[in-house]
Amino acid sequence: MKLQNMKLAQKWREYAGPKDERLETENAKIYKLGFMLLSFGMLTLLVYQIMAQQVAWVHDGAGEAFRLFANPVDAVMYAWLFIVMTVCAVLQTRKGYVDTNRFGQTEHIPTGYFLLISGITGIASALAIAAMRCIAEAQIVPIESVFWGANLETGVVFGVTIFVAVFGALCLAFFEAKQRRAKIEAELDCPDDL
Amino acid sequence: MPGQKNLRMKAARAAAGLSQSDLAEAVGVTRQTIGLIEAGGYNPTLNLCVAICKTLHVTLNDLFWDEER
Repeated sequence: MKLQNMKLAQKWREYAGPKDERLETENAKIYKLGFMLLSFGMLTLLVYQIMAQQVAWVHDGAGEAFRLFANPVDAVMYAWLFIVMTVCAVLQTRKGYVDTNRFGQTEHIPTGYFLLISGITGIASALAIAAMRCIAEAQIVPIESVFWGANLETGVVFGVTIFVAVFGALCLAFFEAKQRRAKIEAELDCPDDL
Repeated sequence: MPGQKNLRMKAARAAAGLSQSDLAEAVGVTRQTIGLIEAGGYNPTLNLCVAICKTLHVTLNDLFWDEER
């Protein structure tokens, strides 16, 4: 069965011809852009959906149990998004890097860079969450009933949480990638090759 | 379009009597890729550079080494 599969794969390669390296490079760039747009778009929608439900619950549904997702399909969809993003991060660390710039493979943890990235993410998240809560609230109650201050406070709390989570995740990924890199380098330095 | 035109590759291909399509088929890429390398719009991998050189019976220095850069 395996031999047959190999022959089939070989025949397919002969039929399809060699892959053009430039097209593969271009395709990787296009898929990267697509992945960014899709994942960040879905994340924004997820946050907005949760905020809208939570705001609606605060105003007129406090007697009922709060439901994070509208239905189980939504929950599975967003769980899948989380799995896909995690898989990408794990694959990166398995290749021994956490970023594609000069901080991607440093020996010492780039604390300043990670703090900058986490800070930008935290501040952007705080502002986006506060704005989303205000927009969601303005759609269900009169503008004078919007809890502007509370929404900003909620945004700040989420922003700080996201800042800590992103910084922690980056540090964890860095140490994991560093360990993996050491293993790859040890294999590359194999004395049998000399 | 980034990069410098690779006129030496174009000349070597013409000297070998190959069209862009012929060279592309020989090295396993599309015609546009060869066109872009000659126009300076694509930076090929070393593997592709070697394949092109072997097909045109020239060395890497002949086509891709630039003393001025």
